[in-house]
Amino acid sequence: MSAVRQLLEKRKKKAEIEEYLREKLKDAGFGGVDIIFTPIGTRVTIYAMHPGRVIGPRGKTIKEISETLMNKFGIENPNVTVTEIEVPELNPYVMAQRIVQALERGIRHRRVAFWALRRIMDAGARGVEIEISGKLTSARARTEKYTAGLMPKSGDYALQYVKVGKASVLLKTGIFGVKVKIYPPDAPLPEEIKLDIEKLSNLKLSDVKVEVVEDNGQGGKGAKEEE
Amino acid sequence: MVEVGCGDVKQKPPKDRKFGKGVVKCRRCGTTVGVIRKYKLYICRRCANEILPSLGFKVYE
Repeated sequence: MSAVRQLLEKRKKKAEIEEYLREKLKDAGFGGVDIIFTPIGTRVTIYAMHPGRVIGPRGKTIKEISETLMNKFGIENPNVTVTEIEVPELNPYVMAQRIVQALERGIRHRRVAFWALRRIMDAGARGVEIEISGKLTSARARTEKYTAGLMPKSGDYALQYVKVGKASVLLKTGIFGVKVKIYPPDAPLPEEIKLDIEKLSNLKLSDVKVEVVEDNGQGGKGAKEEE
Repeated sequence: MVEVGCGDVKQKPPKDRKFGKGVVKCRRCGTTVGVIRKYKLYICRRCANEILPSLGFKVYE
């Protein structure tokens, strides 16, 4: 198996696990996973808003998760831990899920959107964009967009820093989609990113180090980073 | 008169295929249409749009 394929295989597995957990832990405010493959076993760290709901009564849910990881995804010796998200307002998945839950309870979309917008901005975000689409007031479907602050839209910069989360619900009138974009407070502004010209011009070919990224003991020789 | 779809029509189980278009399925949604086989991905083009960024690809429109 080629190095590229090996790396992709690993990432594909991670993506599948994340998808499964997102569906399973909808109500617990799931906000992402970290999966680290080690020779001894696999460390799975789940980030959630309510760690209690991930663990379940007497560890029932967490036991179920580690069993599925073993049987369905073929992970050896999974070690599942749960961590609380420090600022759930800055996690787009969590906020999209919360908006969806509010819509399910029958709260007006406009009110929910402004509530979420304020929450996220108060948490310190540089900018937010919330999109709610579906049959909002009439039989004709519409998309409403609520924005606050800054929001980079184009280029590598936007792909790198803007976090996007999506969620959907099936209500009586039809399906509703929610998209939350957050421009986090720790992202450097475009004018703050500077190239160190002096360091670059003094660089010799012999100084260039090749670093293996994402090497978790199984020899992932795929992605290489030059320094 | 010819009756359609009743009486002596036998229902056969689907043929067990070993190769061909019917075997190459998207491992995420199960469709056989538009499946990317490069790098043994086996993901259809619609799922690819959603999932490929997490695999390290850049997805442009």
